[in-house]
Amino acid sequence: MSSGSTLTEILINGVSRGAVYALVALGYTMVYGVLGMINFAHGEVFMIGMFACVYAIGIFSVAWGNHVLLNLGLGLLVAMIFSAGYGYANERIAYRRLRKAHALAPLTSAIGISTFLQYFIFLTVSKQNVGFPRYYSDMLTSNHIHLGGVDITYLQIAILGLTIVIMTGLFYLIHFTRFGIALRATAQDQLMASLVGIPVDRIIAFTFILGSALAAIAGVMVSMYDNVLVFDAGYRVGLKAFTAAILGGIGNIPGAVLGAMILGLTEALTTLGFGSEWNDVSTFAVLMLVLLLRPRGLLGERVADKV
Amino acid sequence: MSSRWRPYLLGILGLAILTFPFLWLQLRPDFTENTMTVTWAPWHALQFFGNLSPIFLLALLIWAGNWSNRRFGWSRALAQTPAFEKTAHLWQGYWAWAAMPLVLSGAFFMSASGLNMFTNVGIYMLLALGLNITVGMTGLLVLGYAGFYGFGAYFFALAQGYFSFFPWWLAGPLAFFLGGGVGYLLGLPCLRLRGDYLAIVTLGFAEAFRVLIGNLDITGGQKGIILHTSATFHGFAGMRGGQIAFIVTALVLFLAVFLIQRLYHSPVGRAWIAIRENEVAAASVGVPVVQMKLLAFSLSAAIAAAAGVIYGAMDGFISPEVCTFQQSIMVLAMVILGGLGNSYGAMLGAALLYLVPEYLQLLPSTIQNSTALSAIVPPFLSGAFQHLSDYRWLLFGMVMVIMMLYRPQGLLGSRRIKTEMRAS
Amino acid sequence: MTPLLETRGLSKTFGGLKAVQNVDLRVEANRIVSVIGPNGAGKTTFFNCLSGIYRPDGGSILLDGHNIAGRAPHEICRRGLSRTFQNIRLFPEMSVLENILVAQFQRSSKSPLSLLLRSRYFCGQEKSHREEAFSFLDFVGLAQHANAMSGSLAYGLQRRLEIARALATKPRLLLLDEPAAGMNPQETVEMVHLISRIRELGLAVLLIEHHMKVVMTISDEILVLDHGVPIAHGAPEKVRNDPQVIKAYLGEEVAP
Repeated sequence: MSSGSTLTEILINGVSRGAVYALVALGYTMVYGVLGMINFAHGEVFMIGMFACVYAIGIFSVAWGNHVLLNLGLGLLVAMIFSAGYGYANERIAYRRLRKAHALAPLTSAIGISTFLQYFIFLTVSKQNVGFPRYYSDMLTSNHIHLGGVDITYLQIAILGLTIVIMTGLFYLIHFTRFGIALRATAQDQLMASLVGIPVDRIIAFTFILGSALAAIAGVMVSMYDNVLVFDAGYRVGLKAFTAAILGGIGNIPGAVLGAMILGLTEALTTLGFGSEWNDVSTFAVLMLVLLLRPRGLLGERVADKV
Repeated sequence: MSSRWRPYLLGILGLAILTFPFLWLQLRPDFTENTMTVTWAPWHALQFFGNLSPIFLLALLIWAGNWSNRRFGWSRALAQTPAFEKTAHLWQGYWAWAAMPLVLSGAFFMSASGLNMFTNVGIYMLLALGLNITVGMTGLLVLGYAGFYGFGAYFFALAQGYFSFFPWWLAGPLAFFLGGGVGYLLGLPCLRLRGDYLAIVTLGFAEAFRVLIGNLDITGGQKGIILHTSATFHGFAGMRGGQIAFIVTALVLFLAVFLIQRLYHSPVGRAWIAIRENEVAAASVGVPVVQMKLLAFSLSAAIAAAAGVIYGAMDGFISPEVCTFQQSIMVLAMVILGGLGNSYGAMLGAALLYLVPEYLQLLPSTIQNSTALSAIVPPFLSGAFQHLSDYRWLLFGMVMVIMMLYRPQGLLGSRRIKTEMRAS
Repeated sequence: MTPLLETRGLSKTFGGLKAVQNVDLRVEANRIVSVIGPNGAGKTTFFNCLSGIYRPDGGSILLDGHNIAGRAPHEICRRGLSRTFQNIRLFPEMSVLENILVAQFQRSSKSPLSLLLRSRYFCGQEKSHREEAFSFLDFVGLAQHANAMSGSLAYGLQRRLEIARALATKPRLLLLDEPAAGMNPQETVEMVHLISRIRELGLAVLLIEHHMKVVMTISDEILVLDHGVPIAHGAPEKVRNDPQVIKAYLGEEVAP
């Protein structure tokens, strides 16, 4: 049964990684769904979340000692607030004034924000990799439960649990609340939405904030999972999450989750079969294949062009 | 008055809060207990701002110039002076032809490092020109342009292993056609669709290509390949390799500008612009949209591949670094900064975005080596200039944002360009 | 003799919505045929199928006896069908003249050598196309605006430019999608005049229009669509008095 359980372990690894990608991919896909633009600085917001959490943990441990769960929980919260703040700032600086300019203008300014944030962290925080404080992550990564012949770490459970909860919440938010209706209306037609009294600016800002907070959760999880914080982590994970969003059909929320899961599993299987250095090749090979067969992504619908 | 400044004050306050921990605190890993502590490090932030002080100074100067111009209108007065009016027409028509001998003579009075730098500028100009065809003229977003550049460079390098004689002047044209072919094959499935798909597929292609060559043995993996000296630019007819490289790059660049401008002012160029402006209308007045897009895309891929060969022949060494995502973004930024759809703008953008960071890097040693400069520049500033090379990417980001906010059409983009690149 | 355009059982559905159902239409050369119907009747969808922007689900479109159903727009344009759009679709950042020059794409030589080297043939062609473009601009009364950005033109002039651009492809059948929409009475009269002058050039015109006065004055035939179904077809007087048409436009009387 050993090979079977290895496979299961690989699958669990893949699903956890996929869940993290999904959290980031949601930010890409929501902004694309509402604005029709790629939010290039989203990966950096994710990276900010990583660092904000570690800073918060540092402050708390100085302030009242090392209480693992309390500090981790508060750190996660701080990370979400900080990422949300950066996401909001990104929207205000790089997107809001350029919404009516040509489509490449916000893309370029977002590239600018992305570069700025990367090198801001590079210059002010650390030029090298920073490790996540093991005192905190060990409790989640070395403890595990034994389930059907496989070990699942607490962290993996936390990742999966959080992702499922967030997905459910997001689904409810978008389909059953007034905000969700306003969001979908804004995505369909900004002008019309504003004419019927929807505060379009606030809805768009909130989309950025929501996506950024989710990215922060992913950031904290990844930094514990990989035990690495680095200024260009956002770029690497961002690219993967962006790929996942496209794989599932960009602008489509279940699509982003599906795409991220496929990506996570592809990576896990590639690591098993060829070694982790081939991850990126297999990822993009899958992307190419899917785009050739279903050019709008797995769940992307074909929208009739208005003439 | 206060209500006018309030949003700015709130914005600055918000940014101050958001950047507070990263600027004013420092992470201290505690290895005994494997935890993290944070210490108060105000000098850290002060140093950061101190290092940026030349930039603040520069920004202040620009702002003052702008303000005084609005107040006193000196730029209009300047433009009406006879000297300016006489030179203004130089910017029209065939001034490029007059520039040609000037540029080429540069090969004989520049130092080796200067030649190297300007050959690099030429290569970036070539890339920007090529990308401008798809992004600027046809309105198709390409995010993995460096993939084709890397393709050209690696084609050149790998062919060395199979042919004993494969110099750059043979590889260049071949890479041009092969690159065009790869572009055609890649564009074929995704150019039939509307929206950003080309952007994403090219991004995927470039990333997969980079990782592939980084992992394969025949491409030398991450270490890269050193090319045969016989294939690269080497001394010829009493000229050094660097001079040959510069001259070849300049000539190829002139040829590219010439041909692209000819295309631009032809039915094909008009068809590209029409597609950018309104795809459906273009199709309904008889423009074969897919073919024209494919032509634009494969042409720009071909130019990138040829530029890759020039790079390989100039540098003699290539590694997966040539086709990173940053490289693609850099070239895109050059095109957008210079002015979408304008070939001269693309070249200007390339020159600025390559040369300014390079000079920032060289500035500290220039100040140190020159007694005159080190006398003028106050000591606290010269210390700041030391670190400027670290800060160039930070500045790059800032400039991109500010540029888009105040001049989204780019430096030479005179017309407002509306590209509809959204899927719906 | 085969008609210039003939559709047989043309149908197009979007999801469950049958936008166009079984439309049979014949347009003879040099005639003006109007397509009318209440909003959402499928008129524009019908045009989009004819000009290749939508691929019809069923039926055939014969242009001069060749089936063009499902062909790409530029191929259909080459066969001699050109159109304008309900919501104007110019190339806003190109000059008025360049807008016309784009429409001559099909007829211009694109041989790479002569194009890149500016051969004498190429230059002569560019010159003659430019002159021809001016004649089209003259025809619609825009010659003095030739170098203006087309996006900066007044609304009525933009409509005219779109017609000139469509004419520059040298079509035999011109599809006009609400050319008089949003125009004042004076401009509408001028538009009617322009359309009859287009017919004098020897073209057939297929017209969507809501202005009943325009439709009744210049049409030779009228096709009435309602919910994608043709409900009447014939001369203006006949259609005007058709009870079904009146019902479609005014609604059914409520039963007491």
